Amino acid sequence: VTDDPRHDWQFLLELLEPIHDAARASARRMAASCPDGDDLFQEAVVRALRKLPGLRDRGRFGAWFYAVMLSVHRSRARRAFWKRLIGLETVMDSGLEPVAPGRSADEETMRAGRLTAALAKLPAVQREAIVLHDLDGYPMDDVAAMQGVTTSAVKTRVSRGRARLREHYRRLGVVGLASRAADAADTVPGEVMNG
Amino acid sequence: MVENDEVDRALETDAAALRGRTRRGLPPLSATERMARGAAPRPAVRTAWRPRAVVTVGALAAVLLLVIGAVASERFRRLLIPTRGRSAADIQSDIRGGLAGEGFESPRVSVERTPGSLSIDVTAGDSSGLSLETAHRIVGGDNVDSTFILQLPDFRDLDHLPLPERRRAIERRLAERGIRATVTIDDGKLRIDADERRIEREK
Repeated sequence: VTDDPRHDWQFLLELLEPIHDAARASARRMAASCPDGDDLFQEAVVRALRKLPGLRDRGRFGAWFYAVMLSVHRSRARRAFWKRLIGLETVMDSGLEPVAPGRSADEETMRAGRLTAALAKLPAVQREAIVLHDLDGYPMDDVAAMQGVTTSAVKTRVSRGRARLREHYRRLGVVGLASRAADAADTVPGEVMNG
Repeated sequence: MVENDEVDRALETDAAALRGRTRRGLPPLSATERMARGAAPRPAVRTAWRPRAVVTVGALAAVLLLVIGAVASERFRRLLIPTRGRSAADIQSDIRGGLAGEGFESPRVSVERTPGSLSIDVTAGDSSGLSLETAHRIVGGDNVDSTFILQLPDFRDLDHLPLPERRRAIERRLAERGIRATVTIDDGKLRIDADERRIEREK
């Protein structure tokens, strides 16, 4: 870190490069839409530059940057309620490339939108834990470092978040439709939502 | 448990869809770099005035206006009586009902409609002995097929004033209500001419 802002940018971008895509994708998953997630990410980058002098160990930059991004995410979650009233259907499609051949864009839009809407109903800290652990696949310990809490606290957040998501899906009447859809969509194996 | 399994399967497939959707079209690091260097900052998505927010704010504003309107109409004690396309008997009935609602007993109301003009005479007496006698006479012009606004009470509180001062006070009050009027003393009576409206009041 130097006194020259241009050098700080260069330093930050070098550190950011290995985690850039993963962090931006995480931001999109936590936000109400992809454009909203891109805004969250960029705001986090700007805030990270301001806080860069506080980075003590560049080997832990990933967790440090995520902590900054989660802080921005919580700030945005607290903003005035009417700023959060975004019609998902109006922004989900913007700025995205077409889906891979053989997959239905409409179905992906519906499914992604449904989970995004469900995630939006969670408290910010539970949403972060679910996205980082269940969707992005980070271990509980890493999520704990990012959120600045103990591992057991993350476990609690993930568990409560999953319970809320299940309850939300039950209310939507998803049961009964899932088995048919599961055959059609390619699921990702692992611990996703199975905890 | 079967239900739980199905919900979990739905969550898994939705999670896969969200992963795919958020992974594609990621702006490259160079885009972040451009933003970082201030060369091409990405404009923030302004989400404040999305349609749902507009509807919410609009609904709140409409409710507020309704409340204000209700309070204001009560405060100014005005009878709003539609006349467009209605018969003289209907208008007469409305005015009589409105006066009764305002506490005037046995009001005398006469309405005449001829092609191109609408004439309304109202005399409302107060049985409590107050010297209230108000006559509104609306003749032709703007009031044909429009909304007849009967303003109550009239000039009761000015009765104690000498005639010249009462004339000026009535002129001032009409002006406050947006009525350009000329008030004259004619044969012991106050005569008020307001555009096409003529309001006579016994001295």
